[in-house]
Amino acid sequence: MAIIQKQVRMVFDLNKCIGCQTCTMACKTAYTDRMPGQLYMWWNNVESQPGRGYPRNYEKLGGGFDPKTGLVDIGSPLPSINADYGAPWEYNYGQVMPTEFPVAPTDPLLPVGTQVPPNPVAQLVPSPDPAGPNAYAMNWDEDVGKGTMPNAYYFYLPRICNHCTKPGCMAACPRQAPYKREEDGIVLIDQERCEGYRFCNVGCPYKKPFFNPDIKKSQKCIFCYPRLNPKTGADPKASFCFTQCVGRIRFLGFWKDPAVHADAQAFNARYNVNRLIDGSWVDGVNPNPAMGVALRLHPEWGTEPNLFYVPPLSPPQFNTANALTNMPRIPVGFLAGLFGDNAAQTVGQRTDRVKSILAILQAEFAKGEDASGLPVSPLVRILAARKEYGGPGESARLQPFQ
Amino acid sequence: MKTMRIVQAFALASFLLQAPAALAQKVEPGAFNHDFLLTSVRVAGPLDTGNLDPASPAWRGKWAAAPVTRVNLMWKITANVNVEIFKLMGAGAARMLDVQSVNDGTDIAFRYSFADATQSDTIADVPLFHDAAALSVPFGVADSPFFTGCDAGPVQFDMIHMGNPCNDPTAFQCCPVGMLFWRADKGTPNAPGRTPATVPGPSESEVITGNSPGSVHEVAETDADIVHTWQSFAAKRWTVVVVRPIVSPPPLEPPEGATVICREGIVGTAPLPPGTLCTPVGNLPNLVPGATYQIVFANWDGGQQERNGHKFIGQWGDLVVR
Repeated sequence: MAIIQKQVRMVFDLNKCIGCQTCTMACKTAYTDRMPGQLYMWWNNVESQPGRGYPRNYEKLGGGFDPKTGLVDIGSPLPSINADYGAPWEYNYGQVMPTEFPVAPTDPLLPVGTQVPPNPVAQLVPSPDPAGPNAYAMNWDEDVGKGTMPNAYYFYLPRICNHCTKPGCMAACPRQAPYKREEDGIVLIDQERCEGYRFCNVGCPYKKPFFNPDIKKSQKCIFCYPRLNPKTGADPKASFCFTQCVGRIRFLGFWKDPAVHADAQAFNARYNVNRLIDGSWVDGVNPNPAMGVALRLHPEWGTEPNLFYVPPLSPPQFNTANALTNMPRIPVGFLAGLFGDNAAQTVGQRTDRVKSILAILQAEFAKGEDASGLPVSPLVRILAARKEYGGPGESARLQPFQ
Repeated sequence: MKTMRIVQAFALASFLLQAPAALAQKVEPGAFNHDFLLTSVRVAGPLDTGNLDPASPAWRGKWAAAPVTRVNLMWKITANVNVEIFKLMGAGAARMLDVQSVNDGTDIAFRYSFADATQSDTIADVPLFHDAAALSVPFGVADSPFFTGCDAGPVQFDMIHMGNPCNDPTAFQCCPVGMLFWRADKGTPNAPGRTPATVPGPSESEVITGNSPGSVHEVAETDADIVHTWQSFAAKRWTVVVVRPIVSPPPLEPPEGATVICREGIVGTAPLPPGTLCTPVGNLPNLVPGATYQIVFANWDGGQQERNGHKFIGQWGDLVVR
């Protein structure tokens, strides 16, 4: 495999995501709203957790790498568009919007001469039936959550392709259609090589490659690489889902592997994503893994995803006497089941890390602001940044191009 | 003198004809003692690759001259478990391909026909699959009845999953196979909104080199330039005609780092060390008249969710090219 010169890395701060789906629509309108076969695809989706996710129950389907053999798991079933992804709804407009309506015959509740649509066919009916067996969508479980009042909880989990260091899609494809760009590690599917075997859909445990049945090829998030590397000479720009994010939750940067690149440490220290991940935000330079506040989603799947999440804080639970406790409403165990540093971590280690991160976040936010109104904590300065770009010392949210 | 020159010319022509076969895989008929014998009958050329309809006047007489060989196919798992069980059950196999072959010395045609309860020639959803069939010929000599090339690399029958460790270049050690993979969904589309999805007519086959990522060598032609395919579904039966050149189109100069397969048995990375004796193969094993080759068939019933490793396969048979 070619040496990756630098790897794109992302951090999503789940404490700031409001589930508005603006990122989703930015991606949708840019890429998947017109080509046949793409309408069911959401390269960017925001799902509620706890929830079944997109596609339905993807966390239980399989894919990724077997920790014992190191081989990619190709036993995953393939999700169905209607039942698991959720088909785009259609409505019976032809029936409900005729140009002429009959006059209501003898309805005493309507004024004389009122025109009404024919009944019963003139009801606006979505298809598939939202109450039917095939009803599902990208965020079908929105705001459902878990727990009982007053301790109910949920949070939003935005997901795009993780542009993994060890992509399951690449390992599974016999035609080697998926590949990593040497210049930035973005994972793409070569549409010339792809013959629609769907091994990438099976091998990716996050189910982020999508099969287009109309053109019989698989397609996926391209991380807006034409924006990152414009051929027109224009300034590079971050991906649409980053720049359009209302909650400003998305951080973008690059990382170099210290085992390969001599200048890795100095390079990595330039990017806030790395500071959040490796804990170098403490002094701005040196990695301090115990202070890292961003974790991978399901690192146990072995693909080394390059999308990291700052786990969500939550209000304290009430006890049975309706008094506040010091227990977070989102169970730490649930978060530890989702997030971790790497595939080798035990459940206990992941639980400790989540606890530690939540404590760090609380402590740093408690430091408040200085006299000029800026956060005292360098961590909070990064997390609360509102600027898309920034130079050294500034609290830049997006720093892809330094 | 004139006679001598003619003899010399004949000898040279004979050598030229024989040499590629010797470099590829020339084995006398019967040497493999395999499951079936498929004879490719020599017919007058040229073969009409513009219209492969077997009922067309150009083809009707040619197929009438070719014997039909019945090839038993069995569920892959069953077949892999035990060769003897496979042989015992072969006569009662759930699927059978009726295969014919003709050639004109330039092109070689295969026609196979098999029963299928459903015409799966469209893909309307992610978990749905098309009907398919494939024939494979090894570039070298397969030394195992079920696995291509060598026992350490049993990959060919697991097509399409050639996955790990085949994506590891260091594992590219076994004799690869040349495969023609026909898919029903690549057929001639019916009119929009009409069923079935395809109508009898031209189709496509992929040229795949087993134990590799697709085809290996960069060539000037597309698969459709090299291999001509026709398909028809009638009376719950697929008929597929595939025509390919006897001699594979030569590869382009391989770029640095590309995998190179040589007829001499070397599998290396370009550029090969200076002095390496290497006649680069194209993406198809040559099928030169006068030689016998190993051949195997596979079949996928899309209506039964068969794809990739989930399929019916046969055993190696002998293909005698007249």
